[in-house]
Amino acid sequence: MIDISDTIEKIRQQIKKLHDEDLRFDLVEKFGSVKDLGQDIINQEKKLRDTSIEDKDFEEKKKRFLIAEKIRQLGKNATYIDDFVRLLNEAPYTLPANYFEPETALTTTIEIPESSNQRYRTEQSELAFAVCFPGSITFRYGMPRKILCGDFSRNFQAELRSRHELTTSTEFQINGRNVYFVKTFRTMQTSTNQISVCPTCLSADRDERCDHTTRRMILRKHPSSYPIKVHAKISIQSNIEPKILPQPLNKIINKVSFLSELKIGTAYTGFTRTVGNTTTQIDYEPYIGYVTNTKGLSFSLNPINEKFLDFIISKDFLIRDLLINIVFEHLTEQLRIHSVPRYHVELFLSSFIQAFELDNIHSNFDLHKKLVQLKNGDWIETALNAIATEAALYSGRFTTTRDIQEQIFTNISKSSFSIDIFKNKIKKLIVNSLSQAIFLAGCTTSGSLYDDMDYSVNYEDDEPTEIILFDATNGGNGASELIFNYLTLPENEGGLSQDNEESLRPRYLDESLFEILLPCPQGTIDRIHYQNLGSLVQDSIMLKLLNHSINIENESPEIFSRVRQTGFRNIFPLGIGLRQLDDDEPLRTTEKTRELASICIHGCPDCISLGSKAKPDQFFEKYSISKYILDLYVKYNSEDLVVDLELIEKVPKILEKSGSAIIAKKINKVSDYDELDGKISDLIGKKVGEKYIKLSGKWYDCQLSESPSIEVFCMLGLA
Amino acid sequence: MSHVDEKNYLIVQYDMLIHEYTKSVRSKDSFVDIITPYFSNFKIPTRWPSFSSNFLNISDIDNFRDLIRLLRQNFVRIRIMTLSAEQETKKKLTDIYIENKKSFLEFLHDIGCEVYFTPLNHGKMTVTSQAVLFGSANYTITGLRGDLQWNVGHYFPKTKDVDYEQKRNYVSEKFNDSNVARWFPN
Repeated sequence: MIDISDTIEKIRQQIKKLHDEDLRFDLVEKFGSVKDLGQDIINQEKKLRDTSIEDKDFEEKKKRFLIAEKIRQLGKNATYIDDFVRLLNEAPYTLPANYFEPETALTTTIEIPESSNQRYRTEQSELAFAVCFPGSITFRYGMPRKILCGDFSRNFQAELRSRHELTTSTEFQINGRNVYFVKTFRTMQTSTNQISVCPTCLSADRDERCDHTTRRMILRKHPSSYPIKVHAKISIQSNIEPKILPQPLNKIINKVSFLSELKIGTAYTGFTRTVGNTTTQIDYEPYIGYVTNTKGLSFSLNPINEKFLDFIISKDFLIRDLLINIVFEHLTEQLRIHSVPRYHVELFLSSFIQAFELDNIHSNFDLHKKLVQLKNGDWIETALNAIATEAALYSGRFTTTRDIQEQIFTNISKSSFSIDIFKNKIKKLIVNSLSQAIFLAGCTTSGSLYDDMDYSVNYEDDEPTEIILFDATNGGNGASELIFNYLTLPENEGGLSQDNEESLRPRYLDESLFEILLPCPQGTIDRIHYQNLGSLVQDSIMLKLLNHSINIENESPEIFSRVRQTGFRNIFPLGIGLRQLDDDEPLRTTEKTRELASICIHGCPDCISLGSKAKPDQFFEKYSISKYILDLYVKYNSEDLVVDLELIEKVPKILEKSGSAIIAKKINKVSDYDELDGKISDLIGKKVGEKYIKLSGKWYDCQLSESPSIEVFCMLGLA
Repeated sequence: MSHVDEKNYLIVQYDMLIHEYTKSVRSKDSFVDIITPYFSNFKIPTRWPSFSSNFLNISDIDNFRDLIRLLRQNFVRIRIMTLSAEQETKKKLTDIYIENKKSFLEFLHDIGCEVYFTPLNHGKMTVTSQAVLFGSANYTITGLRGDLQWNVGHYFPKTKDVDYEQKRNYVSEKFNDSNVARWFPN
C-alpha cells in the first residue's frame, strides 16, 4: 500500500514552520517546495489509483492536499492563510485562529451603545466576567465604561436580569442557588475624571440611583471594585495514580490526585466597592457565572481530630477569638437581612466586644459562662450605648435606627453558639488557611502569578474533605500538571554530577508548602518581642527583624505601651473598631493602634494572607483564616516525629520508623544554642538502617503563653 | 569519632558545611578550612538542599559553589589549601579540569575565600568550628562519588573528641607553613 500521509505531513510541517516564523506573507516565495511536494502527491495518487489500493483516509488526505494547493495559489496576498493552515491539522487537535483566542472558548458580548461601528464586542467569557462584572468600570474600550448594575441601595442586591442578557437555563448551582451565564453585558459611558457616589451606600450616579438624602460625594478617581467569586466542582476525571506527600504533611493531606479533566463552575455572587475607608458589598440576583474545563489537583484531607479541636477550645484567648469570629459571621448575616451596609459590621462587632468584655481576658476565661450571658441578652443595652458612642467617631453617617440595632443584637443573642459551632469554625479556619498556603506553595512551584491559578474548598456535611487547586484558564495552562510532576522530592536520584549552570534546581511543592506551614517569621519575632524574650535571640536574621520591631515601638511608645498593657494575646480584638479611642485622643492614634494590632497572629502578608485573592471573604480575610491555629494543627500532626533534646537517643528509632525526626529545644539561656548544635553535630552521617542521617530543617517558634519561651526545632531526614 | 566511608563521605561533608552555616547566623566563631590536593565544583544531588526553615534560606543551592557563597554571605572565614595549576600540570591532568579549577578558584577568591597553594600536601580534611572530617577523598566528583572510588575516613565532632583539637591545630600550623603560599589572581 502506498502511503502518502508522510508527504502530507511534510507539507503541513513546513507550512506550520513558516507560519510560526511569521513568514506567512512570503509563503509562496519562500515555500517553493510546496509545489514539488504537491507534485509528489499527484504522482503517488496516480500510483495509488493504478494499483487500485484503497486507503481509508484517502479522501481526507486529498481534501487536505487541495487545501495545501489553495494555500499555494493564494500567493503573497494570503492574508487569510491562518484559517487554511488550521484545516490541515488532524483531529482532535486544532490550531486557534490566533494566539489570543482558544478554540472552543465561551464568549460573552459586551454592548457599547454609543459606538456606531462596533456596538457589540465579543470577549472570552472569563475575561468578560473579570473586567466587566456588573458595578465595575472598565477602560478596555477607550473611554471609561460603567457596567450596569441598577439600584441596589434598598437591600444591597443588584437585580441583573433586567440589565443584562442572561441565559434562561441554569449553568450550575452553588450554595443552593442557581447560577446563570451572561450572554451580553450592557454598559454605559461614564466620566473620565469624576464620579459622584452616595456616602451611605456608595451607589454611583446614573443607573445606581438611591433614595438617601445625604449629599453625594464627588470623587476625582473611580472607586475600586472587586468581584466576589466562588467556585464549585462540577465533575472530575483522574487517570493518574495519586501521590502521597511525605511526613508530616501526609497526616494532614491524605493524597494528591491530578485531575486531567476538571469542570469547575465560577460564580460571581456580587462585588465590593471601596471609597476611602468605606466598603460596601452588593450581592447579585441571580448569581452569574460560567463553567470552565480545566485541569487541577485534588488535595484530599484527613478528618480533623476531635482531640485537637478540644485542645483548641481549651485555649482561653483562642476561644475568645473564635467567639468574635462566629459573632462576626452572625452579624454579617443580620446586617444583610436588615439591609445595613456591610461596612458597619466592625462597628457592631466592636460594640459587642466592649459589652461582652472580650478586650482583656485572662486564663480564667469561662466560655460556658459567657455563652449563658450571651443568651440572656443582658449585654444588649450596653452594646447599644457603645454603638452610639463609637458611631460618632466614624467619618460616614450612621443612619441605622436604634430599633434595628436592638433587633440585630437580639437575634445574635438567640443564635446558636453550641460547641459544635465552635468546632466547625476551627475546621473552617484550618482548611481556609491551609488552602491559601497550598495556593501560595503551588504558585511558587509552578512559577505562576496569582491570576494563573485558583483554589476551592469542598465540604461534605460541613466536613472539609478536599482542596482543589486548578488552572484558572479554560483548557488549562499547565500549572497544575507541573506542580503534580514536582509534587515531592524524587526518592531516587543520581549522585554527584558535573555542574551544569543551565539546569537549576526546581522548588518542589512539599518543600514550599512545609515552609509556609512553619511559624510565620514576622509573627514569631513579634511574639518574642512582646513577650520580652528578645535577649535570647542570637540569629542575625531574627535580630534584624527584632530591631525593626524595636524601632517601630520607639517611634510610637505611647501606642505600644497600650499594646503591652492590653497584652499581646489580646491583640486580635484590639484591631477591631474604634472603641479604644480615649476622649482626648486624636483619631489618628487609634488608627495607628489598629494598624499595629494587625501584626501576625491569625495571618499576615508575610505568611498566608492573600488580600483580594482570599476566600471566602477578601475584605474581612482576618475572620476566615488563622495561621496560629494552623501552626498548632501542623505541630499536633508532627507530634510523633518530635523528640526533646534530652531524649535525643530516640532519634534513630523515629527515623527508622518515619523517615524524619524533629529535635526540639526550649531556649532558656544563650548557651542552649551551643548545646543543641553540638548534639546535632554528633548525629551527622550516622547510619540508620541502610541510610544515613541528614540535616533537613531548622526553625524557630514562640507561642503565646503565660510562661513563654523560644523553641528551636531541628529536622533530620535520611539520605 | 565515627567511621566514614564512600557511602556517607559526601553526606557528612555537605552537612558539616550546612551545619556551620546555621551556626554562622548566630556566631562569629564559624570558619571552614578545606585541605585537598584536587578541587572542583560539582552539582549537588537535588534532594539534599531541601531544608525547611522560617528564617534560613538554604534550599536555593544547586552546586558546591553556591554552598560556599552562602557561607561567605555570613562572613564565614573560608581557607582552601590545594595544588596550583602549574603543580597539577606536572601530574598530567586534563586541560579542561585545570581551566575549570582555575576559574573556580578565581570565583572563590572574588567572594572573599583565602586560597593557598602547596605541592607538599597529600592530606584531605575539612575543618569547621564544630567538627573535622578526615579521609581519603578529594573535593572532586571522582573523589566524592561513592561509585567511582572507595574512600575511608573519620568524623570527629567537637563535643566528643579530643582528636578534634589535634586535627584543628595541625591544619592551622599547615596554613602557616613556609611551604604554603597565599594565591592571588593576576
